[in-house]
Amino acid sequence: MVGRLGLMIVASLVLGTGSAAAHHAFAAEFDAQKPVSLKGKVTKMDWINPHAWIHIDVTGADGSVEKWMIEGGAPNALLRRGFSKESLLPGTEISVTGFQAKNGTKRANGFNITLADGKVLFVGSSGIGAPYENQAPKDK
Amino acid sequence: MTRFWQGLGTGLVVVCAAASADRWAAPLLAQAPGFKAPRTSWGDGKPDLSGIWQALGTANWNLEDHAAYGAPAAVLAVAGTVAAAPGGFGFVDGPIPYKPEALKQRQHNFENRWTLDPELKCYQAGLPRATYLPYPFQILQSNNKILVTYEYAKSSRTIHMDKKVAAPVPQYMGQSNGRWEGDSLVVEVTDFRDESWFDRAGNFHSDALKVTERFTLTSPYHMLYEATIDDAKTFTRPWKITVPLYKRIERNVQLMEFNCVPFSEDMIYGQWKRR
Amino acid sequence: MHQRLLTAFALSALIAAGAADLAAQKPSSPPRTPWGHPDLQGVWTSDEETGVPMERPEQYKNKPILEGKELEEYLKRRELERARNANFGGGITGAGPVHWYEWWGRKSARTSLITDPPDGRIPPLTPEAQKAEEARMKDWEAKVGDRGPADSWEDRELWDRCVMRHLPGVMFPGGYGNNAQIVQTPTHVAILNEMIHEVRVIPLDGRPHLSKSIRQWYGDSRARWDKNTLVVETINFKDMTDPRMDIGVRSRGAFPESFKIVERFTRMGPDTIQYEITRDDPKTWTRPWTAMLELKKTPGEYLFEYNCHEGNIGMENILSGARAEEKANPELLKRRAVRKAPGEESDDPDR
Repeated sequence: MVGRLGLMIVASLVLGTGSAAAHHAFAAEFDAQKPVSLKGKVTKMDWINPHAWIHIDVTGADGSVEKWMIEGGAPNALLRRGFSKESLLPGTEISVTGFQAKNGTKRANGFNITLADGKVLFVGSSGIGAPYENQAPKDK
Repeated sequence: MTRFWQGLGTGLVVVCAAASADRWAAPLLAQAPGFKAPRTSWGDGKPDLSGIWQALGTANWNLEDHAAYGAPAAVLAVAGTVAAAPGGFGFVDGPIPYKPEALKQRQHNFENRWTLDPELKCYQAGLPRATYLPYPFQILQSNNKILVTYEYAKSSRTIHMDKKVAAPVPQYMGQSNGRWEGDSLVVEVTDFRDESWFDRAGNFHSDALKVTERFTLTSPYHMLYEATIDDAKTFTRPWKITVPLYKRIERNVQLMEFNCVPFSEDMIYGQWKRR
Repeated sequence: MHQRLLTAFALSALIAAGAADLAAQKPSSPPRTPWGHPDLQGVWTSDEETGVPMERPEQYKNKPILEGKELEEYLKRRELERARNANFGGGITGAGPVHWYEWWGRKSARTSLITDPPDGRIPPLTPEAQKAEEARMKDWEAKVGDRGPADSWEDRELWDRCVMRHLPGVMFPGGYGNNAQIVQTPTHVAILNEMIHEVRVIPLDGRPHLSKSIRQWYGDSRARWDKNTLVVETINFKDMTDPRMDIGVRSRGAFPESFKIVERFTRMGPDTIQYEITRDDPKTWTRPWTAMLELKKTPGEYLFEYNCHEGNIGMENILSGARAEEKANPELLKRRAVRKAPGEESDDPDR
């Protein structure tokens, strides 16, 4: 497969400075054809690396409960933004939009996570007026 | 020379008395007579614990008294003698005082140790286990921090000496804050995650674990390590692990790189490999 | 070295924020440890240099530092590039939303991390290195060319596997976690990196390197003090023949047995360490080359535990996801989707 070899030669010529984003290939993990929109109660916030995982109970219309795991950012980055282990306590209601895992399990990446009052979770201000900025609910 | 024999005689008396009662009753076991720990070179008056240290014995195989035992047949078929646990006397002050439900969990862990033990997966070992793994570790004693770095899984922890530093979130290696009590370094380790074990035999803990460690130099080449385990969710009372540590004295000795992640991937991810 | 140090110091003095601070620093009198060595201890971050490319882009040919309007545009473009890579908008699975990163709002005015050669570019590869690299690629292609992107964990990069960073890449900033802790004793210096809980314990006592038969991912380091600069020399690197390891020839050279790096740490002020790293392998490059990073003191007391491998649920998801896809679509086993190379610009922003 010449295409593959060509790509690898490009790779070797591109400088590997180790400055990669240090993330999985999310396209390999989650499915762009399977968007999800979930609303549930946090049962556990697992501050693990490389990504924190939020465990939520999603109650369906029929009253059945599905247990989902939502992938968040790295605790290290979140903690330095001023968030703490108190930031997302069990019992908190959250809404999540994201994409489901390719393996079909009840796992999704937490693209957009909002609290019951509409505040977007974990977003902080970067200070340069970029369009994506939001006022952060900074808790210490 | 006479003093040496006198000291040895005293030592023997102490050891004999201890042997007939609790092995660990004499806290300064095997202390060389007249020994005073060397001080740091910069004059803060503290004992200098710097160096490369390693435990001997079978604490990592099994903290309690045990005769030699094997492993499941499938493991023995591949690894033979290397998979067998050598016999050993315990490094604990009696049988570990589990609550009844927790004891059942320990039994389950033991029976499934060849799939469940986090050491097999190159997970950071937590404390106190990192101290008595069969790999050396290095203490770097600086003026305001003491860094302990473990060859296994390139793990490490900073012991804060200048001020108390709280843990942001639970960690595999917990959070270490230390102080001096006489010539002993006392470290409070808190905020553990619950996935680590205390040994290969399935002894475990919950996220309520708190460990109080004492490091005491007892000769130029020995250090006594004591770890009190406090975990009310798992045990009926606190209990103690005592492990002598031996200085690695080879010329130019240094820790080697032991990045064990690649050695654990078959075990962890093998079931999802494309066939 | 002294000349380079002065040049580097002049450059760093122009860096946008804190330019006045640096100009007032006295690098010749750093704080000292109680035993008299320059004190480099603490937690230091390379966050501010995130986004500065290793090599100077063509358009800034003779401009190591930008200023005024040109700087403004450069910073804005860099920020929007980061935003595009983060893929926080739109309906595709990206590398995660804003809060996943620490690289926002960085203002370094430098156009390259490379300070020597003065044109900010890596020297050309020797013909020998070019040949060795092509041979390595062909060999790899023959061995694994028909594999899919997730047949096994070995098809994923070291990042995904949480194996480790590498030296010297670990010292360079990425999306987040760009922190290093230094602990000193009279006989050793320890350099720890937050990602992925890496640690180097380096003797100062002048002992020889390990024998050549011991080669490690992080090589073998020895350090000494050169007046107020900590100089760390590292050799004995492991052979990194697998291109999937995301360590290009221009990062590590083509011949690990002759690859050497020399790092220099100099305290420039209360909050700044100047970090220079020279890569040297006469078999790979026609001359050594040097990159520089300004490390800033963080208020943090230590590094957060980055227990990557222990929590690597993503790897499980990637592999099992690939198996699920193959089950649903056996065609995939015959015709593989083209896997983007590490570092290549693409719709998949993840590198």
